[in-house]
Amino acid sequence: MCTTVAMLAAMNAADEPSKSYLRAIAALAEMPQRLDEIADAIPESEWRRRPAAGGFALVEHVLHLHNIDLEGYRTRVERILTELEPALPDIAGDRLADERRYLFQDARAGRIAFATVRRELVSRLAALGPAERRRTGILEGVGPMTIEELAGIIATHDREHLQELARLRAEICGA
Amino acid sequence: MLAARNAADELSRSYLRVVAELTETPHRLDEIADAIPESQWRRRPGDGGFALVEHVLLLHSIDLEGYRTRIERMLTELAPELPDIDGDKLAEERRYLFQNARAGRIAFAAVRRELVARLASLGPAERQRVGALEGFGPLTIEELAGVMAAHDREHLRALTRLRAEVCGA
Repeated sequence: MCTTVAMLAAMNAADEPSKSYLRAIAALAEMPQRLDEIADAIPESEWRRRPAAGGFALVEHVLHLHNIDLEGYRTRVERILTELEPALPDIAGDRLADERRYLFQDARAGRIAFATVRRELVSRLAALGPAERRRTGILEGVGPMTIEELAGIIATHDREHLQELARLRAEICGA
Repeated sequence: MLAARNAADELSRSYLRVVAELTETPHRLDEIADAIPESQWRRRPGDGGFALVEHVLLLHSIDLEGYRTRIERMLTELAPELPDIDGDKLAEERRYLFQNARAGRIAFAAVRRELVARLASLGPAERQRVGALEGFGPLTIEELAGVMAAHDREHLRALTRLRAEVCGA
């Protein structure tokens, strides 16, 4: 009896999303607001200004976050859910920004579009059951990973952009 | 001016009809899939073409990686060039024949629901934004929605023929 109870408790614990997964999802949900705060602090006339040391202008960050969410992360999540250990290609963000001329696109439309695709990605991740969260894919340059681990990678990628954006804001608006 | 407004209203009505048709596709796919025994979901038609599982996985991936990506790029970029997707190559490379059609059906319904909600939420100016689709030329989001509905119909026709072949007419 005790063994059964312990086993059930262990199973339930395994079924619950890990704290780190829930933290990652909460951070992902916050990202459009954090981006908006920074964008609103930078005058629109400076949205195409790149940092002196090189890197993305605000409009490039926005368009990049939008397309990586859909063409990178969401596509990977969907492929992991429907294919058996798919090989998931890396995406060269710098090349994409260059080819698609993100510097000359519309950051306002990009902010709205990013908020939409991010909301969908968060809903999708939050709705997954334990077996789905543990499905795996093989991410180019990283190796095998579960959807839970991928959520952590998305959150890390967000943080990198927020750090760069904070530096960009400090450079333009003063610290 | 009134004639122009009537024409615009008619355009909106035809767009709404297309969006409604896109909403129906997961249900139509489910009806066909439920009529074919699961043991036959990997059976290809005698004259070539996709098995049921391949149709499902392809509809799912094209919705996200094809149509949804194109719509998002048209909304955020100025007349973007939108590459074609070779469905046959994708199905082969990703080995759709050996994947899980049940998971694919659920996933397709999820991404299609989002795509339909996105199309339904667009204002008139957004629906008129353009992209250049490889092998097709310039088109608006309204026209792209029509292309999607035609693509759905092609798959549904092929699936209907497959069901007749597997289950009898």
